Amino acid sequence: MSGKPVQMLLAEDNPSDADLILTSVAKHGLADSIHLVQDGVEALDFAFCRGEYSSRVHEPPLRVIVLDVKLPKVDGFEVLRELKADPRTRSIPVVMLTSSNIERDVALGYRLGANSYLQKPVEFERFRETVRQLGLYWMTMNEPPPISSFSDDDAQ
Amino acid sequence: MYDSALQAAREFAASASQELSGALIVLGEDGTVLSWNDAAVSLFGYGTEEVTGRSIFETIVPPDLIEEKRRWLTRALERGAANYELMRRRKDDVRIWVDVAVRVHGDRDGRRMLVLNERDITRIKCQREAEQLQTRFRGVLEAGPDATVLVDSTGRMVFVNSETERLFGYSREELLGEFVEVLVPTRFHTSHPGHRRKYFRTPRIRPMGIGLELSGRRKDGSEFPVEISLGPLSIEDDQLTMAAIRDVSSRRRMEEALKAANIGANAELEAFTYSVSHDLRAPIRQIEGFAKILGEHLGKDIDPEAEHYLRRIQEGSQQMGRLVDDLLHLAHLGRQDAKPRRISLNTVVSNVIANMRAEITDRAIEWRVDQLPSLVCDPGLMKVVFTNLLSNAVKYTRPRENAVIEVGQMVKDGQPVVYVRDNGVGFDMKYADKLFGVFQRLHRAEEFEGTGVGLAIVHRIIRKHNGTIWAEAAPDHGTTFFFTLGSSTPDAATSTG
Repeated sequence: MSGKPVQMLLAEDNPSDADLILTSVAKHGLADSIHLVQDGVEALDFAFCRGEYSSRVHEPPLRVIVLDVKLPKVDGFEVLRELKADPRTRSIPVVMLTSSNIERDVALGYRLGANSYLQKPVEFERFRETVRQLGLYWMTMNEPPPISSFSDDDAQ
Repeated sequence: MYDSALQAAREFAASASQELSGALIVLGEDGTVLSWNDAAVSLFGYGTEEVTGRSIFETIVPPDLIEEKRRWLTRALERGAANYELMRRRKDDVRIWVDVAVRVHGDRDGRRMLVLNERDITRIKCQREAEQLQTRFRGVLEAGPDATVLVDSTGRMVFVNSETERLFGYSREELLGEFVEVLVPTRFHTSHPGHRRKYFRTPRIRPMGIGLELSGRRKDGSEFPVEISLGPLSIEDDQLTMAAIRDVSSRRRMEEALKAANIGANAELEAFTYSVSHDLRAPIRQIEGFAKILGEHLGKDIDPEAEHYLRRIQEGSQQMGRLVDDLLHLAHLGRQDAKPRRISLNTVVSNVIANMRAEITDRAIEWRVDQLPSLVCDPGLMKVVFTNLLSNAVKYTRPRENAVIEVGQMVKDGQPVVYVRDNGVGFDMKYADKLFGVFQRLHRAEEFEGTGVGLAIVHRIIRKHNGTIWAEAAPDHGTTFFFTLGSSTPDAATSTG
């Protein structure tokens, strides 16, 4: 991990796609603020500061979590479900970034509380542009949830 | 005047009732009921008040036999006395056979009256008919694989074969003389006699209830799926209907199993295309992406040969991306059912052309669109058809200074044919059979780009509409695509059942 605080958690098991994503945002200096995990269990450990990520408790909260649907061990929808069920992570925006745009998957994503759903374009130029905008929007433009929104008090 | 006639009729009826049994009806010359005794009430269900003064042609004469019975009345008046077997209609619309003895009397004023003595002989007649038919048709109908039933014009069964007994669980004796509705599920008992009488008016050989799933009803009340074909059969004094009934339970079961298997296969195909869309797209993007990044990495210093190879890698992967997309589209069409409704093809065509015009800014194309037919088809799929045919026309007229693309209609063998014509580069008709195959191309990729899937998609859509598509072309003299939509004449396919 670099010195910069992590702003985006990227869960992507395909190393080539992960590489393309990181390369696409490198120009904007965003790559250093992204932490890559390769399966659903690791994504949840990171988000909840468990296991090898227990020391993250003192870090500032994530600005966005980007999930692929087809993740090993625990899939993207299950990760999403657990994130949105817990008051500690509920407020973090979650973006689904996946190959599938079949209606059933999109609908399920939104039902589980996804904040955005993006299909990975096949064509590289469009893919690069999509990822670039995704990074810029959520990591620089979007106003992150204030610290107070991560307390247990507002649990419903 | 009328009073005196009535008086005479009553006097006569009173005396005649002493010696005769059965329904006693006195009619005027024109068929008006003058007298109607209690036996007539119980035989026909009409009360005395109800029918007196009304014509029998409005009551007990079946509506379809009125003409015939008018002639009969005239004949009876001429002959003075006669005996007949006639069909009557009860108030509840049930047909019965009666034996009628007619005598003509004159009253004091010289007016004539007909005195009818009617006896219900339905059962006897049916039995008699059944016996005759049994000897006559046993040979041909007994051994058949189908349950065969002959029904007389009152709707009663006058012949059944052993297969009928076996299939429905009744004995022959139980069925003969009964209404054929005994074999029909109870929920249809009110509607069936109407269908039956309609058939009697225009009898011809045809299957029953086209497009409907018919059921038979066994003696124990259970039902089973059947197919029935009907045909008229004339005998001496009646018009019969022959119904051949086939138990299709096992076939229905097989069809259902087949359907289930088909659904399974479709689900498998869906899973396949789903995984293709996921797993094939990613590596294509990666090949293209890394080639691009490598090129950018090498920057201006890249040697021209290396740049050429990198471009080839990118072109190859882009082409593969298009192929995968088109294949997915084709696979998706395979399991999509057409949802046809009547639409104007002009609307579809003008939408497609409007979209294309917006995209083509660097060429002069003359579009000619005729009045097109309104056809029954799936609007979404027809849009795909025209998008493919018209974008082909645009593509292959590229070398033309003045491109002309025409959409029109003509009639061939009484069917509307729609065509899309261009004055483009055309092709050699000896390759026409390859035109609609998947991945088949008649032009080099350097001349005209494409994946060779578009026309395969068009072909599949037209086939889904039970239509045909063909092309006429000559090298350098343009191409015309013609197609028909079979489902565009649904009126001919439906029938009353």
